[in-house]
Amino acid sequence: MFHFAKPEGKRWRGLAAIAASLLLLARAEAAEPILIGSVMDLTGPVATLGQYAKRGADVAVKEINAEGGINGRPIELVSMNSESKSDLATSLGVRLAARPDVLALIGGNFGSTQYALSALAERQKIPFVTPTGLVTDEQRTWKHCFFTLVDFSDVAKVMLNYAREKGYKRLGLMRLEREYGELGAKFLHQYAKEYGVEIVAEERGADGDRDFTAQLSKIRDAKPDFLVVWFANPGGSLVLKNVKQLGLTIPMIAPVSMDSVATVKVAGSAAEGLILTAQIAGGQVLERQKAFATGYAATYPDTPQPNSFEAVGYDVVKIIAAALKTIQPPYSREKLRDAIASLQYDGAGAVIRYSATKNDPTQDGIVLTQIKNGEFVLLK
Amino acid sequence: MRPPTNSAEEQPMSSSTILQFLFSGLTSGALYAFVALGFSVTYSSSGVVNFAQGQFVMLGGLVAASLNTLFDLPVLPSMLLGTAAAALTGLVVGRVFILPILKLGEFRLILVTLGISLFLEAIALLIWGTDPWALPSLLDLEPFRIGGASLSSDSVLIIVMTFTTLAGFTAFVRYTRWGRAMRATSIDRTVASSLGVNVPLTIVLAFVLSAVFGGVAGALLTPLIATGSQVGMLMTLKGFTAAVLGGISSPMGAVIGGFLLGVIEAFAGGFISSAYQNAIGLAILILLLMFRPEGLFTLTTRRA
Amino acid sequence: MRDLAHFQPRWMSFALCLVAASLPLLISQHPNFMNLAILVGIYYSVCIGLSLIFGIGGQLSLAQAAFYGIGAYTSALLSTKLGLPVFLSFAAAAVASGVIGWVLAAPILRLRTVYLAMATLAFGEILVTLIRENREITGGSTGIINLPTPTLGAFSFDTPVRYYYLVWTFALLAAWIAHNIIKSRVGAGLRAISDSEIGAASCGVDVVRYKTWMFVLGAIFAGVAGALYVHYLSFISPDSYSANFSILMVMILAIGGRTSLIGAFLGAVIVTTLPVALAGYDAYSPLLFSILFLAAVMFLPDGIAGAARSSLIDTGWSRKWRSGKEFNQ
Repeated sequence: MFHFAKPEGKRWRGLAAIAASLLLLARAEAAEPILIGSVMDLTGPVATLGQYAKRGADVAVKEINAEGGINGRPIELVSMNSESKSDLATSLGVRLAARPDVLALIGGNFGSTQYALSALAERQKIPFVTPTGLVTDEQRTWKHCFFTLVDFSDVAKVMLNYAREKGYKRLGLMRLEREYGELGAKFLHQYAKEYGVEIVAEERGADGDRDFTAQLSKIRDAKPDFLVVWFANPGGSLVLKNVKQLGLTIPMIAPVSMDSVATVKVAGSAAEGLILTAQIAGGQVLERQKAFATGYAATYPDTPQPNSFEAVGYDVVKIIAAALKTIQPPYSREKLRDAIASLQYDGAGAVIRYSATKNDPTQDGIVLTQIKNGEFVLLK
Repeated sequence: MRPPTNSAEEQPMSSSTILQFLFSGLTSGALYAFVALGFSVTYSSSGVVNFAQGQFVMLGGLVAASLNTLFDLPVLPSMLLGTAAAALTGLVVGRVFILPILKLGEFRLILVTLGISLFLEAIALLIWGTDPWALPSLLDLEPFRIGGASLSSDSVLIIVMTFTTLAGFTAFVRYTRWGRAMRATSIDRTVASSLGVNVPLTIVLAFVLSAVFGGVAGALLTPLIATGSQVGMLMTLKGFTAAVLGGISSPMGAVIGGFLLGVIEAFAGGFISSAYQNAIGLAILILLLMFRPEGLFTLTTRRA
Repeated sequence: MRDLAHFQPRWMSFALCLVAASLPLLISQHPNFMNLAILVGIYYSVCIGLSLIFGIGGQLSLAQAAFYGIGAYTSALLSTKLGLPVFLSFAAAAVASGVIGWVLAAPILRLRTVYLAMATLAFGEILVTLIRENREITGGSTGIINLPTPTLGAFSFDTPVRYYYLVWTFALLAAWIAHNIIKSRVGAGLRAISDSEIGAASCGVDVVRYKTWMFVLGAIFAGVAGALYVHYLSFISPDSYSANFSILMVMILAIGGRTSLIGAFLGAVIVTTLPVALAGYDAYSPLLFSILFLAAVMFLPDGIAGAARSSLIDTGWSRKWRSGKEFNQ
């Protein structure tokens, strides 16, 4: 096949040997990586979320290491798959936390795996940054858990505020019947009056359902002027399709769970005009998101536009890196936790102002986006 | 728990809403019917509860959708190729995995199909990723508006196809040689064999057929709701429920069971609570099994 | 073709107990191994129940997950909402699963194979829905955290080593009970039932009573195991109690071998440790698991225990045991 000129004789071999040993020595001297344990749901029902977060995290690791790492030490993710199971997540968390060289944990891509890992992190006193949001208010008092998706109470307020600005008074709500939807509904009900909005109909559906025309008909009967689709994919996209099928043409808004290419793929033209309380507009990034977007497009040239999940996946690693930069080695879990707990950081998906009383991102992190021509752009 | 609807006025349920429930139920029902039919066919001929049935649905849909999306193949050929892919998988499963294990008994067979379903799901995740895949409508028609309720052309298509397939299969079983062979095998394998029926071939044929049913369902379903690598298990559970409801050894029973389950779920979801809709379907199943342990329409009680 | 020979010589049981008792000395410094060892004990307990119902009695019940959940939630709720001491909650878990098992047994056990499987599966799914929908009582899909640790007076089972002994004491107790049942007349009756119910009945076996007892016993084992599980994790969520869990239990018997308790043990070890071992392969882990599972099912018809037994029989070893009273049949 290829013909290289062979180096002649012993001299070359000797030089090669010396070069090889120097290289080996260099590797041995090369900085020991900083380990971050990653327990993500890469398969199973929430595989989509897990894989998005992992993609974002990988972009962050690449970027940090290309810049020389932290104090010359590269960051390395010890990546595990919790298969969307909270007990497996706990086992894996125990396994990672048992390694003294693992400084922090990231992961937990939906309610139960995140909750299980958070509880574990609190018990084992290891800092845990998750690409999801709070599931209970009690988690606000926890010291070792840090969130990157804006809390639902803030999301609900942003949605209601938008409705108020546009003069919409009658809100219809189509939501997931599980926890995710319940929390959304709770906050919408809680703040609706404050924003002069009345929830005239509320219907529920399950992830696995294929048809929501029955529930949407009931909503339509109540004559809302604004529809909140508090759903995740693929159910949410089917809701959009059914809405179109029923001929309902009122404006619709959905939370960040619908911020992915799946919405456009599955709902097609039915997704046009959908507004989202996302945390990044893949087609129109803000200043603080540019570094991420560039790195992302370089790593994944086939999908140049990131979504909110990938953005916060990136953030969880960057948050740890940013915190590490504020402290001196030798690093320990407690020092890292303290550093994260007072971090101010403008991330790709989240705007972080952590403090002793706040472990979730600020409301400023919400970016109102809209689907136009199959792309996610900034609203208005 | 009743979700809080408009607290001030309780809207009377309009007849169009009720009709909408019915349409929605018939659409899901058609899907369940296909899967249940597949279950019935394999169970009848080989005594196997094919856990991988739902994966055939998944494969049919995914192959069709990816051919259309990646290679711009028109919808109909994509669907046909999707079904062919499912059929091929059925062939491999039947010939390579089921035949050799037949003599080891019912339990082993169930486990093998379970393993195959896990394998297919895992492979699908790696090949097709986690995002859903969509297909455009086969017939690009506006949804039909009947009595204030709407029914999409894809729904009509899948409902019609279910009955067509059932009719076709019944004719096949009654009038063709292979069909009669399958019927004989399902009644008693040993006797069929002694009468000259090529039992192993018949069983493989059963698997291919049930894979075809699943694949067709998957392909027809995808324009409606999109497929992903995760749908298999849910389809299996629903199809199995429907098959048991109607009587797993009867094709007609399976189809009716499918529609029944779909409609029950839709009405339960509409009138009572969408949260409990699955549970209500299952509860009705359990109640039914108390009184008719063989399902609604079982023709014969057979020893597997 | 089911091999009903129950080859479990006494030395094997002693060896198992010895290994179980001394294992922490070796692995207590490795939290991840301790974690796995505890989980194996819990899954083994659930499986012992299934082994009685299904392995010996031939009834494919997929209700183990439901009882696992009933026991878990009974204990979790009683200990957090009512402040009941944990051991009392464990007892309540046993009672709850036993009672519900007994109520369920009568109608359900009349059903044949496929229908029994479906009915038990349906029962489990309904239960999970009930749990998810009643958030105020059960914590819903998110679950409940900070479940208390079991205590006996001043002694608290709050380290992995202590919890390990707690779990394995129960597991070995369950195994001992099951073992004695299998050896007894009841066991013989069960095997007769799995061969032919009519035949067994004509021999005077009280089919209904035996099936019910085994079902209830299996339910109790699963219920207590569930309670042990959640108080270990200090966390409960409905994730673990769906159909997948029951199927996992069946897998354990499939891999390990369903007619022996050693088989259930081996299966539990494999099914518990394998996903954790494979988790580092990211998205490939379910694929690898399914391949291994398929291979085991296709090539080891009686599970690992069966294969080991056959190879032992092939060598000269078994002759020694067959002659002595060690051969438990």
